[in-house]
Amino acid sequence: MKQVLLVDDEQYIHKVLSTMLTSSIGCQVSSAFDSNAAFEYIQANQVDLIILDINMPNSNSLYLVSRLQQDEKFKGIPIIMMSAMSYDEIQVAFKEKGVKYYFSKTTLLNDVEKDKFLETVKSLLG
Amino acid sequence: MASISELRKLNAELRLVNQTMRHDILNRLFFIGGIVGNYQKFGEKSMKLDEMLTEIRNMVKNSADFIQGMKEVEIDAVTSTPLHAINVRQIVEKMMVDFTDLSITISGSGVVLADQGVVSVVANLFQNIRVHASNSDVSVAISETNKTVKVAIADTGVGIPDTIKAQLFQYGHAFGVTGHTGIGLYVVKSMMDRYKGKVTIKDNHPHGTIFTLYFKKALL
Repeated sequence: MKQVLLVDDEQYIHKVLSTMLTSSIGCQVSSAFDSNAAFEYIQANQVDLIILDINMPNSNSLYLVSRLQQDEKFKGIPIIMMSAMSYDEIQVAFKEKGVKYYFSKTTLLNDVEKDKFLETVKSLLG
Repeated sequence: MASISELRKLNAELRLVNQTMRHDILNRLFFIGGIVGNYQKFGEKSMKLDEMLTEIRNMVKNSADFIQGMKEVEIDAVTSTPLHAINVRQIVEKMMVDFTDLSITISGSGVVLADQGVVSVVANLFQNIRVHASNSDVSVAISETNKTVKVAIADTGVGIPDTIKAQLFQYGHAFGVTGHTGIGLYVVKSMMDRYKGKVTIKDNHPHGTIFTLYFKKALL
């Protein structure tokens, strides 16, 4: 079964996204609540996709992206970034890190956007 | 007429209010929309109906309280209303209702010079514990001297590495070049600056973290 790692500091976001992903796609979803915990998890477990919140207290999402991109073993893991902020506010960070996939948390309230998100997850999991 | 530096300060305060409110409310709306969407699609496999309704009601109440609190901060910023007496123990007790998953004990009391933004200060510190030390015990110790009220919020979780401590209260680069940290503890520091107080962080022993808030005492 494909493994998704969800990295977000809000427990209730895990609750919503885990249900959505396991019920729609049938993948296994694991949780990390900050970037350090995520990196430790990735080192010890198989991860096929990372869904990463950009805005977490005590944590540095973009540093995690850099660490993964610089590591031959992990740089192939696709990353979807999410934020409650708009794309305009965070596009500088995305462009700098070369992150390809971004979804606003609020656009997932829209069924069309939610379907796009799930399709993206499915295609990245192969 | 306000000076340029006063206008800059006002602008910064209003930006803080705006950013804080957007971030927190959007996350809560996402949660509400998300669990309703999951329920519509997957039924009670996703969540029991009663549980979902309770979660939504709590989240709506919590958001309404938060908006009201931030509105008062905004009014204070715009009108330069002097800080006033706030019973910090009452604020902590009020916030404990929203964090029933944490085992929180409270001792002491104190009346501080602040505004309703204290709600956000306490909520952000509890939220930080919820995320990083959710299984720990939390103690809130309030004490006062002649001029200062100290609020020490201690957890017994895994602690925060020193490398993270140094950047913990930053926000400015969160969406810029270096991508540091989030917004919650930035709000705490900004609010404490506004109150002419401070926030410090140190290790708890044998493990965990202590955030200490230093407020000016309200002279009644």
